[in-house]
Amino acid sequence: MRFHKIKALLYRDFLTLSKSKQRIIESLFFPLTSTLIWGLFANYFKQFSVETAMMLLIINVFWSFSYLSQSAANLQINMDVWSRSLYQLLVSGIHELEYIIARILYSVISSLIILGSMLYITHLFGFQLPALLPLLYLIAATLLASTSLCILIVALFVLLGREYAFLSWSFLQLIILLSAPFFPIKTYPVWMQKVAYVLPHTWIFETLKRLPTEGALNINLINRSLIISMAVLCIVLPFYIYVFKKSKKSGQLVRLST
Amino acid sequence: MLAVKINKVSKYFKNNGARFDALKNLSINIQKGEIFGVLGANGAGKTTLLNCINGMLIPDKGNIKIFGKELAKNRKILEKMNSVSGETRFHWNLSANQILNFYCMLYKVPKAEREKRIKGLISDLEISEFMDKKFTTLSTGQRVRLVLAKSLINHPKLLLLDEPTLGLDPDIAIKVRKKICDVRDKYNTTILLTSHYMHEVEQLCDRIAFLHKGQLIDIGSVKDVKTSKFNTYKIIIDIKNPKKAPLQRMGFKVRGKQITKQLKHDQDISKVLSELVKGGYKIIDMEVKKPSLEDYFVKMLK
Repeated sequence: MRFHKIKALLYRDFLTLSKSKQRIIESLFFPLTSTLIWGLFANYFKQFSVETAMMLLIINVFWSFSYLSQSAANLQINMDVWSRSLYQLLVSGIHELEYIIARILYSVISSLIILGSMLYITHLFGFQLPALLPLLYLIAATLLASTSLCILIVALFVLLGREYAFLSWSFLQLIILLSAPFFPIKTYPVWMQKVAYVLPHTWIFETLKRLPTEGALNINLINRSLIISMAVLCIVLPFYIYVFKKSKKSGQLVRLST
Repeated sequence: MLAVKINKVSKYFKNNGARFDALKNLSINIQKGEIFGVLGANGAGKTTLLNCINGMLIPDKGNIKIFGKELAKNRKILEKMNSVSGETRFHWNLSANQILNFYCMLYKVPKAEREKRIKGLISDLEISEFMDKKFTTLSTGQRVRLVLAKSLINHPKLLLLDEPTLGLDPDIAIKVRKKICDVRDKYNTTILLTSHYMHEVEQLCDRIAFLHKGQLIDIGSVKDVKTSKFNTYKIIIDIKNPKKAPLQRMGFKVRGKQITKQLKHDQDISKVLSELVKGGYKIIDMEVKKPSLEDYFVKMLK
């Protein structure tokens, strides 16, 4: 692992971000406005059920955070493809792992900043933040879940070509659909329940759903998410490396990067 | 030691089930410090070959050694190389200066040396006037010079240039060619280039390889490959007082005041001229027309 290459990519990514007001506004706008909308809704809904209102609010925050931490990395890769600068990065000798790690670090840093802002907004609407250490643990588990998903999306993008760039911003929606964000897992038909049980996001949302009633984050549920994410990571990382090798054989990588 | 050893390399692609052989059993040795040209029509396999050398493609058969090492097992070799084409693009939002700084970091140019190296390239390639401009706002000529600056940022031992002067104005193309020669002379860089401009290849390359449908057809110095296909050249002389019959007996074709003759490469021009002078002919003008690389290219494709 060569850290100078990761550092160089991070430097470039934050430099391009800092030079585009539109991108900064775009990355802040949706998560913050969405938190405000749900905050206002929670405020109204408190008269029916405080627990439900707070649950909806915090689940929305972690939904946005999951999306941001996955899509920020994927969109950065899309930009390398769209700007046709990916070729120059790859011929510099950067390893596929160094490349993806740099993108993940970028998304972790940028999404954590936004998460901080979103949590602050929820606090303004009366949400009581749980204890710091379990919260950090939940954040780490969410990041790991998004990271493994991000690597899978990059692998699919490299394998299938630039027409599949849409996976970057739509794939997570499918995962959320199957992760029972606002409702019990039992709401699904049996086959969907089976899918939900093996998705890391299911257990993140389950933790959050129980937070208002239990008053604390359920570490066992977070553990479950973390273990599943690690298992997914163990599968998607070799797949990602394999896809790069395969695309160098088929010529797909050249087509994608030039 | 060889800079590049291409050993029986084959590469094919599949398109809608149909197989296309881009390289067929190709073997080429490139010496250190050599400027080596790869010629061929579109689809000959030139770019595929460069992509196999820089690791963007994995050959289906054979292997490539760079400075004695196989790239697949020694990816660090890529840090001693650089690779650009006339179509190279950078992130649209970055200025030329930021792009060069980024690649300095990527190639681990020591921080203390970065500024000096960038300044050197700015001066050599005359790019100071657009260093603060965003990449998207640069003209084609400016982009190519920036691309070339990027390709030299790590003082590469092996430089792969794919159509480096594509679409450039002649004056800029001349500067770029001069820089390519300077780089080789200054750093003993091995340069592998493809070009559609035959005069450029003739001017720059020590040796060339001619590819056709993925196969190596010819290899050698520019002079050698030309003489291998053309054993004669033409001499055109304008004379004041042409007499058709005696000139035709001497082997000349006569058209008005202009006479022409095909000579073999080892034939002495001075002998031909002295025969004319002895015959009482007054020479006004003379032109020696040797076959160009372009003639060679056209002949090879027939």
